[in-house]
Amino acid sequence: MEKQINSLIRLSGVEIEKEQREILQEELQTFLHYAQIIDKAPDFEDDKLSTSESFMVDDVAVDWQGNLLENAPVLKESSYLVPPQQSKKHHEAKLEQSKTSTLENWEVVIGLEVHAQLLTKSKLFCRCSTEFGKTPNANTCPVCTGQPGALPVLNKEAIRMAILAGLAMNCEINNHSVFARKNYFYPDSPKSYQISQFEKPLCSKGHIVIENEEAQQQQVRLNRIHVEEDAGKMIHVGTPGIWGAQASAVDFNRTSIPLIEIVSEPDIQTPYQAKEYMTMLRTILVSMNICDGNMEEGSLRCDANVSLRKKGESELGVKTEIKNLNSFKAVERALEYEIKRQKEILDSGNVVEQQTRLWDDNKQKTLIMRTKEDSHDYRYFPDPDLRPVEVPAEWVTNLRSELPQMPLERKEQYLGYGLSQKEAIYLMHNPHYAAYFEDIRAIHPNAKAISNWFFSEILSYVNARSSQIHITPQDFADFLQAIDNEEISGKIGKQVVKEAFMSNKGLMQVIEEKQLRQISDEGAIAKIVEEVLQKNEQQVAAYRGGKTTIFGYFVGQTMKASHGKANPGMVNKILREKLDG
Amino acid sequence: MVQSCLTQLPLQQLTKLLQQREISCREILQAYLDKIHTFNNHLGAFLQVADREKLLSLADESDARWQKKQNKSALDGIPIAIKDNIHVHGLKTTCASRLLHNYSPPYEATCVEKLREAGAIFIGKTNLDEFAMGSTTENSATQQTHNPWDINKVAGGSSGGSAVAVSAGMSPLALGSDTGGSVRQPASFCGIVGLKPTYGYVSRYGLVAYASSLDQVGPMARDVYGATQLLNAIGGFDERDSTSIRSAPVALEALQRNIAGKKIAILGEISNYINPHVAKVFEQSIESLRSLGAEVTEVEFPFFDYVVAAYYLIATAEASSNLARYDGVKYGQREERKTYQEMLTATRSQGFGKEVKKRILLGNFVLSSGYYDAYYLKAQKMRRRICHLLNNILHSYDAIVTPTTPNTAFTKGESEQDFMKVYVADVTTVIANLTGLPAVSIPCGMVENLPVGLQIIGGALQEQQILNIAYQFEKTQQKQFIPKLENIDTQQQIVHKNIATQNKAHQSFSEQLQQVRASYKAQPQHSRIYNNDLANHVAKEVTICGWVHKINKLGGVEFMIIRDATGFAQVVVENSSEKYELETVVRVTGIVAREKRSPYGEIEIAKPQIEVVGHSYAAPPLSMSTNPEGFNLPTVLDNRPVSLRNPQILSTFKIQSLVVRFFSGYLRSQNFFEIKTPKIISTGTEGGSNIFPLDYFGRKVYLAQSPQFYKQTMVGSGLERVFEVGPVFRAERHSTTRHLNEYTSLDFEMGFIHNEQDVIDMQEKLLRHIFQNLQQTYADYVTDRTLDLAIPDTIPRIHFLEALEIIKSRGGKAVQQDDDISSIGEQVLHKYCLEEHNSHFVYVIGYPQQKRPVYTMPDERLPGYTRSFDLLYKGIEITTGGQRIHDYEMLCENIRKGGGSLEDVKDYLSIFKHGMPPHGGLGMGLERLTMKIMGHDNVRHASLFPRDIHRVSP
Repeated sequence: MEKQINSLIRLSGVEIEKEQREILQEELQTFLHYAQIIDKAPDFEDDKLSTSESFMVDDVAVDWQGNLLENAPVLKESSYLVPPQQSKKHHEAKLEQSKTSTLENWEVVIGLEVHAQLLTKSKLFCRCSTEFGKTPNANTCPVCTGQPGALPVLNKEAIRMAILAGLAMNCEINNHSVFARKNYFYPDSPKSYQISQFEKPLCSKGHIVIENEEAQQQQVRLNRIHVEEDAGKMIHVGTPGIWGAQASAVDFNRTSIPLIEIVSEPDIQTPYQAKEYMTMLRTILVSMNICDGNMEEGSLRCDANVSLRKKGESELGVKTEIKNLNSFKAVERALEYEIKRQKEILDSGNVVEQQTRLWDDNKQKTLIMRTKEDSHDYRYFPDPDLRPVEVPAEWVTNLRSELPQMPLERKEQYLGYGLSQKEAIYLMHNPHYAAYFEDIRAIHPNAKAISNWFFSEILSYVNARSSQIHITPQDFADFLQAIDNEEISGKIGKQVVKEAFMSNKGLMQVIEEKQLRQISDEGAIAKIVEEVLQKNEQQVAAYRGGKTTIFGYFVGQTMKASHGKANPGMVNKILREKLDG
Repeated sequence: MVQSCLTQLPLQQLTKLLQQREISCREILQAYLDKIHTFNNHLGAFLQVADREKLLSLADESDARWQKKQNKSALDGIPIAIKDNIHVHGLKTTCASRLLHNYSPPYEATCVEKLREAGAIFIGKTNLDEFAMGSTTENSATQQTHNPWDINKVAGGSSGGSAVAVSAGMSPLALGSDTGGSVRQPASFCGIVGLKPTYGYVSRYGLVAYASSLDQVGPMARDVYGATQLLNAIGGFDERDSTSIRSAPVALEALQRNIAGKKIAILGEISNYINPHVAKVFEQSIESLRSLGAEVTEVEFPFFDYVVAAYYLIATAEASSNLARYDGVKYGQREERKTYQEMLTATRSQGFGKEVKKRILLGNFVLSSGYYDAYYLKAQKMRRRICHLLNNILHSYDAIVTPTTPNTAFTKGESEQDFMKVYVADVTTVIANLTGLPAVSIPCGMVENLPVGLQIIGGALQEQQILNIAYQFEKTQQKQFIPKLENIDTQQQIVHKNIATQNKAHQSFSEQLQQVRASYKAQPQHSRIYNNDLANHVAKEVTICGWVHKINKLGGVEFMIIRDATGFAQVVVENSSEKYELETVVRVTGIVAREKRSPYGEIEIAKPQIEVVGHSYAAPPLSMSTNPEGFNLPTVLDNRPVSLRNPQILSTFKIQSLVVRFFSGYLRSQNFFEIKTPKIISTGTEGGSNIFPLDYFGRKVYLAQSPQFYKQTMVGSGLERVFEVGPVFRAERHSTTRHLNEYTSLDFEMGFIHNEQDVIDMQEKLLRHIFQNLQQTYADYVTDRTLDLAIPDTIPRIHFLEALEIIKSRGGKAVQQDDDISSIGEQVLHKYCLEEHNSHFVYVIGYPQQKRPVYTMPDERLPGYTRSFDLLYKGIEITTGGQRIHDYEMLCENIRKGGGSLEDVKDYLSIFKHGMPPHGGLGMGLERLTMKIMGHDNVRHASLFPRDIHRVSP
């Protein structure tokens, strides 16, 4: 009893005096008695109360005075960056490594819990803007700062996006799901509980397909996808963490931004697959515009559960949970480190302790955060402030029809255009470029030409100079047409692209302004040729005297005289006519 | 219209007069404000009353609208009192909790917003049980609320303040909140109408949550009409509350409908719970309903046992989570601590009252893993069962009636003794909360001059139905339920008289002044005696004074233990009706009697007359009668002003005072003069960085780290021997059990010595004097332990180098990097001296020169070492002293060698320039000495208000 009361005191965050402890003991007995009374009640069939319609509001961001905020966030510029694809070389090296790595007769089991911020305009339970990077606590209201008496109201858009995510990942969408309170004390949690989903999530089961080390398709099953609110952000003075900080401040801007938590089954066997899984999830979410996929800003976060077991065993080993995986690289590295660490423990005959560990990106190792003994009792229960979420079947049907093509299908499509593996994978993982690509293709069907210019020229400037492509699909298509028409040469074309990015102008605009179109007018070229031949009488004589090897000299002189704009084919033809004819 | 009558009118008549412009909103408001002014002190209904001028100007605006027939609603200009857990712009929301005592809400509750739009005037915020947890309003951390029918009875709760406000005519209407009966039960106790609407009928946005699935804001009024008007003004769907529902207002004309033929159920099993007197009134009410043509039938409802069980399991579970947000981070009274977890626990432990804490703990129990299924889920299942059953009944009947409560208002303090009685009393009301059904309480009769309420429960959203029945029932009542406030009037006259006297005094003081001057001579002799002197007054009447330390109840007798500076006295109180909070300051006159069974010197005070001279408004955060060893030190220090009251804690400081007394006494006998030297200085005495800078009118000055220079100056002045007891300040960033940043130094300095040995001789004699005197006297002050005050005939004196050898040979880590004896070394040395010399004391003499200040006399016999010493007591350094350089040239030389500037210390040097006797002295840390004498393990125990790197308050 004493121990129980001490644990209650810890959970409750209140101390009581000795006398009160005695009273509490008595009342706990009374509660026991209550439970017994209820137990003794004649058994009855549980009445399911008729569930009332769930209440959700539109995704509209307002400021604290209730004024509409029009510029609430949509996709951020920076999301065009972060090309997650690694080079082929690296891929192969990895493959090599994973083959040679000495796991001996151990088998790795990995499950990931991925949190993705949804791209709604307003927060999950209030109408505050979700805009990133505002002054601390600018995007807050009584609801998301946990003021006494404030109540949550569900954002319909967040549910819509979560259903879309569930459908894209082949989940069952539950027509009845429940928000629950997850109770724990932490300064960044203003209500001291997080509203999440526990027993009845919005989406159950499901799977996504990834390509593993052997480029084989592999299915990773999902346990669930549920909706929850994000916590605030702590700012510590003096230390990176709360422990030992001289002072800490809380920014509630992030509080209550909608998240989905995607929980996988333990189907992942290598760090490489884990990273591929993360990448694939990101691609799916980004392609539907429901998450910006920006791991640096924390829009996508990952916790990993990993354990080892003897090959052939069916029971899972003791797992550790790794937190703070803020990049794709971190996911892979942390798992590699942790597998090695666990293997060493197991090889030396010891047992792995169930722990939560933190990935330290600077030290490139995982550090212990808490052990099983310190694990929380979250005291989940259905949030009485929110009604259950009822999702009509019709809504799901409509959303299913909005689903875009899934990444691997798209990849096949790109390969079909004649793109290389590398290019196809790149486009698969960068859905916004893929859309751009398709927009150009709709005007100019030569996919190979598009990809040549896109990958070797355009992308190099995009990554180096700008995060966004300012060249419209129409402009790009016109440019390709001009090349096809031999109005400009490949060489000039490269200059055009460079100039366009330097001056932030359109491709065709550059061509027009600098008058870079090729001279294909026979008369005009003949005139230049005449002039060149007149200036080089000696060489003409030598040529005609049999030194035909200097033909290229005339070509060069002509091109020079035309400032490189003359159509080289025609120059050749006319020179031959004039010299040989 | 006579104003006192105005405040007795039901709303229906009030609005009629207003509509006919026979009275103005200003007159109404003034009448109620006057009532508040007169009675709130005695009844404690309001926690906060809005600014009178502002309210009056709002009333004037309403009058202007009425004048133009542009009134916003029937409630335009009507004053409304709001329970202090509902947010109103411009007023604080305290929830009657210490934790929120200063909370100004950043938004307004939806129901209040609606009333504001209707033109209502918010007259003030009313008292409640803290966070609405309770049914007596006794759990308010702020004030007591009294039932206007009998001020010894509770008002009910938790909306007790609102009920009293309406009942006593301080507000025509009020809002309450009802989680388990908190509107209906106080309405019943105070004889007014209170309604709990269907769950979701009124938005909960802005109502501070207790148990979210049960909470509902409800109207309170003198009459059914008033409750209906108020309900219509606050009801309706709110998109800020997902659980609110769409509803139509109650049609006022529907209240007039005949209720003949209505089918009304009474629940058979309820009679088991009802007090027989109340049952009788209930029977009469049923007869009245029948006389109106209603058919009243008894139906089965064998579920009352389960109702309270399910209610408390669910309510506490939700409360534990709802109240978790009060963590001190965002708002509320924060208790500053070093870590979040400590701050959280301290904030909540000190901010919440005991009932709230208890419910939070119980709720967390219900939700905790391993219990959730057996408690919470089962209770929810039972709740659905009860809903099903009641809804079934209400399919066949228009309403269910019950007595609102099984009893009339409780006597004050009753809930404290028998909380189960109070819990079970909720049985009649909680069924409506568990099922979400609407229920209204309406006065239906009296039992022993206390009102009884009739509860009418209807189907979901059937507010109109139950209000119709209530309205028709109300018409059958012969009397109006208006409490007579005359019994309060007597006290009120005193108040009036005081005001009258005050006014007169403003006009002319002459008469009063005469009386005041006469009183100087006629002051009665104080015959108070101390507790430790009672044995000399057996069988006499005496007066003692002190604090109520403890109250032991034995049979019908209370033993009140009174604590004063000298000890305890047992006072025997028979048939006490008064309740004394611990620590109340009293003056007790009674007979001193011998009583073998009294643990306090076999003496007690009988037949006492007890006079409270200082009220205690809350139980102290720490127990005074508990052995403080069980407390943790931070808690003791955080609550220092109160923890010092613990006699065991205080005894340390009694001993500390004696140490100072004997120190000064001895030195005076040896021709020392006591001096007081400044603590704000322009330069550091001993240099170094361990000195606190201070802004002094824009200049940088320092807090003295030693009185050294001034002591020497005073030796030179011709006093020859001086001592000082004063503070010194050390800016060292230590965080040990031995260091303080401000401590009391016992300093002396003496001239005409041969060498340091004279100083040591003087201190030895001084210490022997202090210790021997303490040995003789301490038992009068310290009763819980024996003090080890042994002091050897001669204290061993060893040289520093010898000390290092001893420590090394005993395996101790002898030195720290900078050639000093480490704290471990000190302990090794202590052990050595105890074993070899049977002494807790040891002098270590001859510290190296570089470890000592420049003014320290070098030892010419051992170059590099000095004539300085430390005294270690029980392994800790308590004194540093030595012989000082007195020769001007030598001192200058030494300062130069040490790299110092002569210019910086020229004032100091001037003492020496003009002739200075050989001299030496020392400083002794009072707190460390006290700590070791008392056997404490931390010097903070021996400092009244310790100052360390973390702590500057209290």
